[in-house]
Amino acid sequence: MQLFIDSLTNAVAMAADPMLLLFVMLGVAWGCVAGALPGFNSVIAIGVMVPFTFGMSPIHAIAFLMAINVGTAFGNSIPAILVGVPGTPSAVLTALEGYILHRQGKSGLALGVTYYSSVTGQLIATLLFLAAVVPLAELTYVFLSPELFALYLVGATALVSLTSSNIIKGLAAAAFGLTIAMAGRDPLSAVTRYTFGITELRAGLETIPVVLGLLAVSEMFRSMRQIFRWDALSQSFTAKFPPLSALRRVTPSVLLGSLIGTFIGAVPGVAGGAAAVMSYQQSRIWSKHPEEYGKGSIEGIAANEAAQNADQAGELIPTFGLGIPGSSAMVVLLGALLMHGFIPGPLLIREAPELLHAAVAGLLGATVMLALIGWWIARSLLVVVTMDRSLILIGALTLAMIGVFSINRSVFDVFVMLFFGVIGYFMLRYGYPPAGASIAMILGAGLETNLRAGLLLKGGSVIDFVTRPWTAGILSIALFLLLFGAWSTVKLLRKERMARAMALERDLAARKAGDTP
Amino acid sequence: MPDRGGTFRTGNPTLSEDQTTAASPFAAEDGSGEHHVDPIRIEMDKRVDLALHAVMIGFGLVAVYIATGFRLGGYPDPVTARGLPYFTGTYLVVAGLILAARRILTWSEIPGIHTVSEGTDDEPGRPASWVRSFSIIGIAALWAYSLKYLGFIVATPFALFAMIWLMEVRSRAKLILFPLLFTILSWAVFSQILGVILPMGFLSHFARSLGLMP
Repeated sequence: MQLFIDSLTNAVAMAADPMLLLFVMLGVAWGCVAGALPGFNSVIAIGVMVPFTFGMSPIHAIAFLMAINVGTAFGNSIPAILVGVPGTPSAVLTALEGYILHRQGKSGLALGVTYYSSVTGQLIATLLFLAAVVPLAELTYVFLSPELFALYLVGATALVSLTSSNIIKGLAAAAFGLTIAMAGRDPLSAVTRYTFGITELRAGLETIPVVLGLLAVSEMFRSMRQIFRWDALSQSFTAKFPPLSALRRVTPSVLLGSLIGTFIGAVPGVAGGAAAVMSYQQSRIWSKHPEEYGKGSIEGIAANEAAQNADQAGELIPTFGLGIPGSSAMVVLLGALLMHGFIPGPLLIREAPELLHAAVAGLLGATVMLALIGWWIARSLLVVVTMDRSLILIGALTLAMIGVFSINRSVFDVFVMLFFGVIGYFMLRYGYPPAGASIAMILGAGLETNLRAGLLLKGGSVIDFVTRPWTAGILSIALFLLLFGAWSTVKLLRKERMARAMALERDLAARKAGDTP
Repeated sequence: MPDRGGTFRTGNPTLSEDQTTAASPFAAEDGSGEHHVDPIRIEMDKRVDLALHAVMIGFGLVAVYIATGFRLGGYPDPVTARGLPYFTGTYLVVAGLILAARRILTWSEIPGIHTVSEGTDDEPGRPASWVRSFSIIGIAALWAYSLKYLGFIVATPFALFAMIWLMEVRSRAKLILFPLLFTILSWAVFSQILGVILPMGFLSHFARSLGLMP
């Protein structure tokens, strides 16, 4: 408890720094705009801003990145309400309820409830995040190489098993990520591996160009396949802040959404959409007005929005506390934080407590900023929502290329990003999760080092290595996750069988129709 | 049987199609909970899928082959520098073979060149072009290559013009103003505010004489 209070006090003190607040405000504003931009998601929003953080101190950079994450969760609901198009899958139910209210001329009510729920959900989730992360610091004293290896393994298998429909492809993506992480010097024996005589590869591949290529650029390339605009769907509107009675009515849904969002978000690999859907359903069960759901329910919006924001803070628990990023956005965030000297995992509080305080200061500062400017932003974002998606995609790609170039003034890094963008494009389209490859690339060095160091510690005995109590427990979780992934693959095979049966039926019907004179 | 792929719907949506589409243009496709419609989309190209399996097998074989040449350290390391490369390379080969065998054995069960999607598909109802995506990748690579010779200020507007043209932007104002404004703004932010020295190419001497770069 004392550690929690100390961390919170330090974070609040840090948040009083005017420079930090300025960066937080910029981060929230960019996050909101990026969240509302057609074709953008939090991965791209964070990714294109990473190079800008290299000129900042690590504390400011971490707070800035946290603020972007908060802003994006709020911003992606604005197009959901104003044009009926969710910025991300987790805003689908906001689109369902909010767009109906918007068309009924109740835009202010929908936007106001969104604003209130997002701010409240974020605040509750930030406190829950800190309360959950601090106890993980105790693991510092029981975790040696075997446990850390097991933890890295769980991190990779969680994302792979829960995000890929075909576990064989998911694990192939992770194997690919591990292989590219091996380029450069072997961490223990300093043997050079997979450098192909290229000087730039001797120190290994830079994390940011690879991760941005696999996660952000690949998505941009995929989006560029199609041309569509949202401006035709938009309409001008006026918005008045809702009465306090409306906010009082949605408060139970907000609390429910915040708790569910934080809890679900803390499970690595479970998408934000699951938290949003679950809190929406629970809110309907407990509501006094279940008949309004699906017809413009403000409680539905509140539960969904609170869960979405809380989910973002929940995802930070495994990312910071265990070093396991739970989603693509967290992989990019972790990659950027590592470049700023961040030490994720149980060592965080012992080795670099100020960076944890900076993260909490960023989250708290962003919540306050969202409370101050969120309502104004919500009303102003129609202009952003209706911007030309083609220009935005090209602008984002160019910005990512300039940003990656600026890290080392290296054209080679830009080529690396584009190369992995192309690989990520095929992975996205053909069911190999790029997030699985990215996380394996980030965790690869730690995973290999701890495996080899742990086996040395145990005199080369695999049995002694895996039967340490914590190691065995964590490896069991990894095994369970793999079995879960295998179950998803079985479901995919069933789908294929059903499709084959339908195709056959359709073919037979067509032939019968053709036989008829 | 059309060769363009398609979508089969399963499950029992409790809202009618009209209700969901009325609520949100995308809700019928992406909705969840009681509005959920679980689609089986047949849009994944079997040929590319099989080609990717072949690439995977080749990548794994090359990874293992190269790993056989890694030097072994002098101390008693049970895994060595070769251990993980052997493991990942072998997995890629075995997984590639399994996936390729499955694809070949089920090739004719769904007529046409498409099969059940496993990845992210295009938005339904809108034409998609991989040529556009790959042309833009080509221009982006050309931009990176030409930075050294043409410099940022000259290469960027041309690249942006070409890329937005490919994205079917035809408004003259956008075609001219967007590349110019974006180039000037990004140069000002990166070069003058963040202190990143952007290449000036053949204009380097001129830029130095103006004090725009060190």
